[in-house]
Amino acid sequence: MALIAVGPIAHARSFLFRAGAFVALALLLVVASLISPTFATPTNLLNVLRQMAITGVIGIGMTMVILTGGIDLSVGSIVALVSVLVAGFQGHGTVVVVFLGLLSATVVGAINGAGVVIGRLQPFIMTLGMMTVTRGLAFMYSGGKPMEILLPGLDAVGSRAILSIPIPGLVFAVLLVLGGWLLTAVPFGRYLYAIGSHEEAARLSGVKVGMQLLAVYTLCGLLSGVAGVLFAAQQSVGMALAGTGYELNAIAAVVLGGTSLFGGEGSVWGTAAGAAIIAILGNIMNLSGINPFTQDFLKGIIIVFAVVLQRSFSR
Amino acid sequence: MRAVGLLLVASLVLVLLPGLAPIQAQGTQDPKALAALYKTLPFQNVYPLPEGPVALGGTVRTIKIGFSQTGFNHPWRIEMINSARAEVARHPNVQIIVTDGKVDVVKQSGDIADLLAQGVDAIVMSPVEDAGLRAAARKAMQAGKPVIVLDRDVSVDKTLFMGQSNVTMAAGVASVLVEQLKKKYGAPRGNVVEITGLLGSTPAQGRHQGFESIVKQYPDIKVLATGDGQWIREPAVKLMEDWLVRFPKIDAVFSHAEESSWGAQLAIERAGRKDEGIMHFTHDSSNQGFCSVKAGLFLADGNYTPYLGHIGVRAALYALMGKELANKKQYAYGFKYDLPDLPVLTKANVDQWLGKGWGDWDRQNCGKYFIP
Amino acid sequence: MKENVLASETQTGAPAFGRGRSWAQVMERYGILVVFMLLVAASALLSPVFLRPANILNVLRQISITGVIALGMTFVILTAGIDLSVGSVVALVTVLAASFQRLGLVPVLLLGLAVGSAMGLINGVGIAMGRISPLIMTLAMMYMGRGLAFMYSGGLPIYGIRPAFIQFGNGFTVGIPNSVLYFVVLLILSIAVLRFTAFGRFVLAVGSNEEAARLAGVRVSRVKVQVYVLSGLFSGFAGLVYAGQLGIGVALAGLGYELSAIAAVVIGGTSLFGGQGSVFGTFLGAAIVGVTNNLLNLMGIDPLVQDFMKGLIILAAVLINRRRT
Repeated sequence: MALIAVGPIAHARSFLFRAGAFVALALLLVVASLISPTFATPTNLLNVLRQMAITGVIGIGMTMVILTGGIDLSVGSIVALVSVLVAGFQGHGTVVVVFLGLLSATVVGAINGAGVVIGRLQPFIMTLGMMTVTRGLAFMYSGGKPMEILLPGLDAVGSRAILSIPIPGLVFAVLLVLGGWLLTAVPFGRYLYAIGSHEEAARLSGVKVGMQLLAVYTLCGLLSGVAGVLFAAQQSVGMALAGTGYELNAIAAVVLGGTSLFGGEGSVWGTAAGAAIIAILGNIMNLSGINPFTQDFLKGIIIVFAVVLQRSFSR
Repeated sequence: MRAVGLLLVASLVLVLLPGLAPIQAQGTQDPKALAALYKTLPFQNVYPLPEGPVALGGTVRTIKIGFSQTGFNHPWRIEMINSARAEVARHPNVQIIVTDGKVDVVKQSGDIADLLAQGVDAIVMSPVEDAGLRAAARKAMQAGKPVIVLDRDVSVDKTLFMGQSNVTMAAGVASVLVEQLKKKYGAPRGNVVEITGLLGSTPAQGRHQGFESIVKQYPDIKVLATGDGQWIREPAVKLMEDWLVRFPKIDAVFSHAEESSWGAQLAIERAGRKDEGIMHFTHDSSNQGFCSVKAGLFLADGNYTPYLGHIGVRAALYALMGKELANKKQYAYGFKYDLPDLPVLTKANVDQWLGKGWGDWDRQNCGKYFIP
Repeated sequence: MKENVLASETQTGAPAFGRGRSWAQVMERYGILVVFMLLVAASALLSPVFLRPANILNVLRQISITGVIALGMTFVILTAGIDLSVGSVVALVTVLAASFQRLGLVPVLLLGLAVGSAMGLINGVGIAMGRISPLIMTLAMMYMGRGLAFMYSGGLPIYGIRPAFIQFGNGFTVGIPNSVLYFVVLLILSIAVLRFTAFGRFVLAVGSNEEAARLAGVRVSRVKVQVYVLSGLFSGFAGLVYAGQLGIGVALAGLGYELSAIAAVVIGGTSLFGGQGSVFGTFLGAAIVGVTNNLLNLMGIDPLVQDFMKGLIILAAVLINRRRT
C-alpha cells in the first residue's frame, strides 16, 4: 500500500475533492448550454440521464470496490453475460429472467471476491481473468450471435418513463441513494473506508476484512447485473459483444468523481458527477456537430481540464 | 520552469511535426477531394439529384441530416461517411452531422436520440446490430423524421432500407474457391482455413454463413480451422503463423477481410512457404484490394461497396421533398430498395473496376506482386 | 541518505535478485517460473508441433510488440503508476511512420521515438507536477493519442512502407526475427537498468514509499516523469516495429494493448501498488499469455471457446503463483 491519508483529514479532503467534481460538472453544464441551445432542453437532459444510467449503476459498485483499494474489470463482461442469459431464458417470463440474470451476475461477483479473499490474488488480475472467462461464457452460450429479446414487461422498463423520467434513470437514482446511505449510515460502508485507508488497522480493530471484501465484490457483480438487465431492457438484445469497454468508463467516472484508486476516500455522489461529466461530454460532441475525428482528442483534453479544475478547487 | 519548457517542446513535437504530414483527414473534408470522390461513386443513377440547393416546398432553408454510423472501427465505415459527405457537399443548404457509435448499441441508440434532440430533418443510420437499434429507429419514425437504413437492416417500419447481402456475397466468393480447387485437383477437394471478421459481429456471421453454405456441399473440402481475424491485419498474422506450424498442407485461405488476407500472406511469406501456392479468397473491394486481385494475390474479392452514403443522403432528401422513391418495394418492415448485386472481383473482370473501389491506392505499382 | 533508500527497498522486498532476499521472495521468483515451465510442458504434450523452433520463434515474435510495451509499463507500475496511453502511442506512431516514409529510415525512427517520448513526457508532467491521478492522465492521453491518429490518417490505413523500414520491422538477423532481437535486447537493458543503476533504485524507492524516498533525497517528481517518458519511448518503438512488421500505419493499431501489457506485468508478479516486482517476471508474464494464445490455436480450439479457456489458464497461472503473505 502506498501513502494514505487517514482519518478526519482524509474525510475533509475527500469532501473538498467531491466538491471539485461538482464544480467541474456545473461549469461543464454552463459551457454546454452556451455551446448548444438544445443542450438544456428537458428532452436532451433526460436523454443524458438515460445514457448515463448504465455507467452510473456500474459506477456505484465500482466506487465501493475502489474504496477498498481494489478494482473490478469484469463489469462489462457481466453485462454481456446477463444480456445473453436474459435472451436465452426469456420463455420463462420477465421476473424469472431478471432474477436469473441478477443471480448469475452475483455469482460472478462472488467468484471475484473469493479469488481476492481466499485466493489472495491481486484484484486487478483476478477480475481481468473473470472478465475474459465471463465474456467467453457469453460467447459460448450465444454462439456469438445476437439474440433478440421479446419481453413486453422488460421492454417497458427500458422504454417507459415515470413522471416523465425514464425508468433506467430512476433505477440509477434509487440505487445511488441506497449506495450513498450504505456508505455513510451503515457500518458495512464505513468499514469499506477503513479497509481502504489501512487494511491492517481495520483488521486489528475488529473489521472482518475478508467478509467485507467478499461482500463488496459480490455487490459490484450484482450492480453490474442490474446494468445488464437495463441493457437488455433498453436494447432488446442479448449479445456477447455487449458492454465492451464499460469497465474503463466506470473506473473513469469513479476517479473523475474524486475517489482515490488507492482506496479510503471518495463517494458515490462524486461518481455520479463523474458519470454525468462523461455522458455530457459525449452528448455535447454530438449536439455541437464537431468533426467526429477530433472528438477523441478533445475529450482527452477536456478530461485533463476537468481534473485540473477539480484539483484547484480542492485546495 | 524547465518542466514548462519541456512540456512546450513535447507539445510542439506532437502537434507541429505531424502537422507537416500529408493529412488525409483534411482530404476527406475538403470540397475538392469530395468532388473528386463523387465522380468515382457507383449508384449515381439511384435517386439522382442535380447539384445545387435543395428546395423543400419551394423554399430553400438549411436542411440538417443526422448520420449515425456504427463506429469508426474500419476504413470501410469511414468511406461510407465520405460518400455521404460527397453528396452533401453538392448542396450548399444541406448539412450533415456524423456520430460515432463506437460499435456499441447503447452508444448508437444515444447518438440517434441526440440527433433527434437537436432537430435534424432526417436520420440516415448504419446500425451496429438489428434488434438493439429497433427502439431508436422507431423513435425517429415516431418523431416524423424520414429514416434511411444502410447496410444492415433494422426490423421496424422505416422509410427505406438499402443494403447488400453478406451471405450471398460470401457464397459467391466461396464458389470461386470451389472452382479454383477443382482446377487444381480436377475435383473439388482440398484444405481450407477461414479467418473471420470480428467474432460476434453481424457481417462476420453473414460471411461465415455464406461460406459454409457452399463448402458444405463438398465433403472433400475440409475446413481445417476457423479463427477470429477481427477485420484487421495483426490477429490474422498470428493465426496464420500458428496454422502454418500446425498444418503441413493448406490449399486456400478464405478471409472475411482484405486486411486479414494480407496479414495471412505476410505470415506465409515470412514462414518461407510462399512457393506452396496457397490461394486467397477475400472480401472488401478496396482499390488496393483490386490491385491485389490483378496481381494474383487474391483469386477473388467480394465486392461489398461502402459507397451507400450518398444514396442514403439522396433518399432522405427525396423523402423530405416529397419525391417518389422509385423502385422501392414494400415488405414487412416498411420499404426497401434492392441494390443490384455487384459481381465478385476476379482477374477476369478486375480491370473494369480499378479505381471504383474504395480508398487510396498505389497506382504506379498496381498489378505488381506485393503485399501493400 | 542513499543508504536509507536501499534499506527501505530491501524491507519491502523489491529487487528479486541480489542480496537480502527472503524465502518468500525466492518462492515468488520460482513461482512464476514454475507456472511457465508447467504451461510449456503441458503445451508440448498437447501439441506435437509446439516445441518446433519455428513455433517458438512465432510465439516470441507474437509477444515482442506488447512485450516491449510491457517492459516500459513495468517501470511505471513499479512507481505505483499506470499507463493506459500505450496503445494510442502505437497507433499515432504507426500513422506518422507511414506518412513520413519519404524522409528515410533513420529520421522516421527518430520521429517515432520523439513522438512516443513526447506523449510520455506530457503524461509524466501532468502526473508529477500537475498531480493528476495516473489513470486519469493517461486515459486522457489515450483519447488524445488515438484522436490525433484519426485526425492525421482520416481513419484510413496508410500504405507504402518502404523496403528498408520493412526490413527493420519484419527482417531477420542471423535467422532470428528482428522484432524478437529488439525485445530481448530491451529486456536485458531493462533488467540492467532496474538492478544496477541509481534510476532503478529510485524507481523502486518511489514505489515502495514515496514520502520516505522524498525524505531520503530522491527527486520523486523527476523519477516519475522519467518512467512515463520511458514508457512512451518503448511504446513509440513498439509502434515503429508494428508499422514495419505489418506494412501499414493505421489509427486502429494497438487497440487494447494497455490491458495486454498490464496483464503481462501483473501476471509477472509486479504489484500494482508499486515497489515490488521484476522485469524478468514481466517477460514471463508476457510469455505465459503468448503461449496460451498459441496453444489454443495449435489445438484448434473453437474461437467461441477460446476466451473462456484463456481466462481460466491465466487465473490458474496466477493462483499457482500467488503471493504468499
